[in-house]
Amino acid sequence: MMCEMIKGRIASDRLWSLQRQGQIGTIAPIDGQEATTVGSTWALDPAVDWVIPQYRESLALGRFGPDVLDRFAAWALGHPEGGHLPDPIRVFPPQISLATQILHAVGLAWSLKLRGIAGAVLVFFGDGSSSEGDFYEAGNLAGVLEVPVIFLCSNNGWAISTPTSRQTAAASFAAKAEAFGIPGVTVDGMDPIAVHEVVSAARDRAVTGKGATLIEAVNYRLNAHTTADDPTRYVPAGELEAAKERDPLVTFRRQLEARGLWDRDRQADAERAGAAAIDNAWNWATALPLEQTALFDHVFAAPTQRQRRQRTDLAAYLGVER
Amino acid sequence: MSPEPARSTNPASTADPTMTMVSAINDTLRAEMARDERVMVFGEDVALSGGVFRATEGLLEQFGEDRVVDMPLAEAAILGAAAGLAAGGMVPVPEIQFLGFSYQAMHQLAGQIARFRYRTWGRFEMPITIRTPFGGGVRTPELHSDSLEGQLTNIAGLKVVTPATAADAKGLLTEAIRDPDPVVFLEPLRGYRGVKGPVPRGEYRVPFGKARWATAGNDVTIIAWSYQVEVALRAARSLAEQGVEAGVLDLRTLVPLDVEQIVEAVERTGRVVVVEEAVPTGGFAAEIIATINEHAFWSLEAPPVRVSGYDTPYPVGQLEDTYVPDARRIEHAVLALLEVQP
Amino acid sequence: MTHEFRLADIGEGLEEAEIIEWRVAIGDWVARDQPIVEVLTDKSNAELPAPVEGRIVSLSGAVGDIVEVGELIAVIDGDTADAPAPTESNDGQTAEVIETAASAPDRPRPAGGIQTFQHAARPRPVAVAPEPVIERTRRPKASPTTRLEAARRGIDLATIDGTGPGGRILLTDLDPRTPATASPDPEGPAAQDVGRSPSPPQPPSVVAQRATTAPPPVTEPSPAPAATSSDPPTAPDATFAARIEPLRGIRRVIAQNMTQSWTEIPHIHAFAHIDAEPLLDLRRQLRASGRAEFDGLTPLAFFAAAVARSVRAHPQANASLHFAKGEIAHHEHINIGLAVAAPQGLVVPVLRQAETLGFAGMAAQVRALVDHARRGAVDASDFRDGTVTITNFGSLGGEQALPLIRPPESIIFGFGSIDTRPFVVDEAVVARKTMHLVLGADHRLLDGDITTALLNHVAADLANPINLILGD
Repeated sequence: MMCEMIKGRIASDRLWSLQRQGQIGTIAPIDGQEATTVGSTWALDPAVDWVIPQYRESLALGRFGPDVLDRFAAWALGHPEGGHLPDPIRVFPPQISLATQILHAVGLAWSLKLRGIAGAVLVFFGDGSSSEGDFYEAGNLAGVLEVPVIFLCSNNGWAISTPTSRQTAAASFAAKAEAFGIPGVTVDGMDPIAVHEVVSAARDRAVTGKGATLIEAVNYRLNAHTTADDPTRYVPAGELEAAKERDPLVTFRRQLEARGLWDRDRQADAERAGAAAIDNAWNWATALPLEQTALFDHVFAAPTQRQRRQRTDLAAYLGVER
Repeated sequence: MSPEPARSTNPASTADPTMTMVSAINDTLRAEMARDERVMVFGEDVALSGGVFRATEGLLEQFGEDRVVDMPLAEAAILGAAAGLAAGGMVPVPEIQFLGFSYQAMHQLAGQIARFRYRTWGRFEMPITIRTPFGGGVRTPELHSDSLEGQLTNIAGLKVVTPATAADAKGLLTEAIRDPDPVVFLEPLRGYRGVKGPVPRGEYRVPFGKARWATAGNDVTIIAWSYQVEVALRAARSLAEQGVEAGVLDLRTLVPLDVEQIVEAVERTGRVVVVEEAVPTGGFAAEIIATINEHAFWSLEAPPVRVSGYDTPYPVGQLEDTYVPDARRIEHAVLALLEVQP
Repeated sequence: MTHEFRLADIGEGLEEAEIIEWRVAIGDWVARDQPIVEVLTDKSNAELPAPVEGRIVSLSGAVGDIVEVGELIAVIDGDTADAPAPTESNDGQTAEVIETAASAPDRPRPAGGIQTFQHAARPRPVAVAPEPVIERTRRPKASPTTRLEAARRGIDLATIDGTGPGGRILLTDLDPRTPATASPDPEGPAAQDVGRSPSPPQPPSVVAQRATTAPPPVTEPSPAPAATSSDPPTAPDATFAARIEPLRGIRRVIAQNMTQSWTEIPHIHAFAHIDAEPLLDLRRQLRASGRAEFDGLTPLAFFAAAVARSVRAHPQANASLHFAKGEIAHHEHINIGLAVAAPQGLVVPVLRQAETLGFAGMAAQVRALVDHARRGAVDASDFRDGTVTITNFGSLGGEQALPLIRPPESIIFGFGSIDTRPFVVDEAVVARKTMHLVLGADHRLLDGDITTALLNHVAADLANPINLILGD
């Protein structure tokens, strides 16, 4: 888990630099949410369980194989293959339309139940997404259908510039589970072990037919919302400094070192491996071929006559342009 | 989940030569659910009550509560769950009780279902058929009558299907359920029981993108879809008594669109009236006329015209007969069009 | 190998950035992703990291300068020949990563509010582009079919005066002397199909082409077409009208055809006045004969029989003049249109191949056609292919009238009322049942002698109606 957390941070930093160099578009860094992402997914069985991320988690979904980061690099690069997680990787691509993925998770979990598959669906969303109607519709529906879904609210304190206090007057996000008739749990999202524990329990409930669980993992966004954001405009002075004390890369490392499970060499190895992982992903992504006429691929199983005509026209136009 | 052998709980499954459209839909759902156990029907009031128009009547008894499901009253949940079910290998046939209610699920429809295959670059198919009644003329309250096909066809990745006859309701619904891509299947409110006709028995499929001549005529072409085909036919009959032979082209599906037959019709008659119930600005009739201008401009003898709703919200009951095109308005438009000298 | 590092749009639609601080100097060695410069954008402060490892060759701009997106910031020489020792580099990289991880949130921190203020106060060029002056010219107005036809015949539309609404050039306005060429059309099959458009001055529109399928009445004003009681499309305007009714249906078709007849066909008319008593006597005898085909026998049957005989004797009248094509179409059969007042308006069902019918057959068919028409039981096929028209305005009480030809026919016979009038018999004026006959003919096709002969033939047969029964 430590290695994956380090990989996630390094990959995030690397993509940040690539954005500043103009090589990719907007990207959302993971800083501060590594423990929530890694701790939760390490509780899953990639052979039967599914993960539906929002848009940061894919940086640290190594539990489901190295392809996830490769595809995420392509996604950041703007290559359409970035959205394609090849079968049988049980991971959805990043989701931009907030909270919509929570309903997909309920539907997907419903299909597992109907088909008698003993798996669960873990869906990530943020504190901000919990204000969307889809969150409530999904929680309500999951309660009614008793489907094997784990709602993981990664509460990093900020929805871009809107603090938690402006998202809800409830005592916690987990408290909303009561209205759905499902259990709600709050956990320290900066502690991968604690997250792993509650997600394991939720998964057990899910695969034994006991239904859904809502987990609020409280962490902190240690960087900007995205490369297009300037948090110094709104984050109160001192708050970030205080949160940095809880940086999971620092605290978990100390924990492991205290138990003799981690040292400087392992750290260096993990950092090298992390850098290699994102470099490999970037190299893979930038080497992907792409014809501009691919624009028309995968809209439908078979293109319509109009699409075929447009594609032909485009090819001719591009041919002229060259 | 093994389906029981088909029972004839619905009188429409007999060899009735004049089946209503709603019976044809019910029969088709039954047949497809019996054929493929991945097919499931869900929505508001579809199971116990059999649907507010009785389109899903008897399905619960035959296929059980796992496959015929009354959903919480939340349109986004219905369509969002459909996306997840489809990703999980099911063939969802959700119902949105009235098309106007889909505004509350448009982010799932346009933002998710329509582009799921595209954003996952072919990983996940969305073989979803969203059945939903639409169109006016039956004195429903607000938002029950809106015609949104212009908005739906502006969403890349959706197929938009608009049957006008009972037989087409069967043939096109069968095709929709078996289609690997999301289909919005628009059922005309007035047509559920107002449209009757012979329906082929057994397997019957109507391919998408093939328009149908509801009646032939060389003087002018009337292009319509869904219930307005019936209205256009009334206009054509009246015009025939005046010596005007109007052809009525039933598009059947808006996406994919049968451009070839539209172009052929314009090349033959040079004069076109397009009928739609919706708000005209940015509507699908406008798309058809743009298509005509692109592909059949030199055959035009007069400017193509629209007979449509107006640029207003769909009105309340005492105004709706004025809003919705009727045969008289179509006839008037045709006669005015025929006066234009080339 | 040198690498040019240019300012990218790092904030979703930014156009420029201000240099706040250089983090490196020319000649420095930089690692990949090591910050080179801090900039201030409209959205935030940002460090821009080196895209490649190498030595800084040049830096562009001073602190405070504005750099546009796409402008050069730095040139880095990526030749690693003089790179620092690799071990050092590796350690540095590792340390940098940890450092970055720990201090990441510091990166966007702005240098201070002053820069922000300066940034906001920076003057920007304010220039509203003047609207271009549009010279208002107008291309000739014409429909696509007309444009295509003009192009096909090599006619410049600018040289044509349009007679359509608003000066629009109609297909009929194109010079009829320039025939369409048969050369392959560059516009493709769609365009070629337009060739079906008739050449002027033939009826240009589908409405006029339909003249033969929905014929107009001949002389008398007909009842308005069965009113579809919808409101008029526009409210009455300031013109002096109590009510404005859209022109449509049969009335519109009639209007178009009569306009064409009146404006295109030079008419010639011939008249006759005959003793009708022999006809009335014979009709009485035939009706009294008890034979079914003569039950309800009307004068119209005699008129039709007489017309058929006359036209058969003068076949040049059974023709259509196609002036634009320069053709005269001679018809094989004599098809007589009978103007009848019907529920949907005045209609003209056609008695086909009249030249083949004996009098009894003629009488039966006339009666059947009129009955059907009056019951509204005729359809478009009953109206087609007429070559000659009979208008029996006498049955409505009309004494004399000047009927108009129905294009593309060439003749029309009119029969006035049978009434008691002064008539000369054997040099004495007596009171007799008489009737007036009239023939309208297309004077382009038929001269006065033929016209007179045609009418006289009819007059002679009606005055001696036994001819109609006995035949030749």
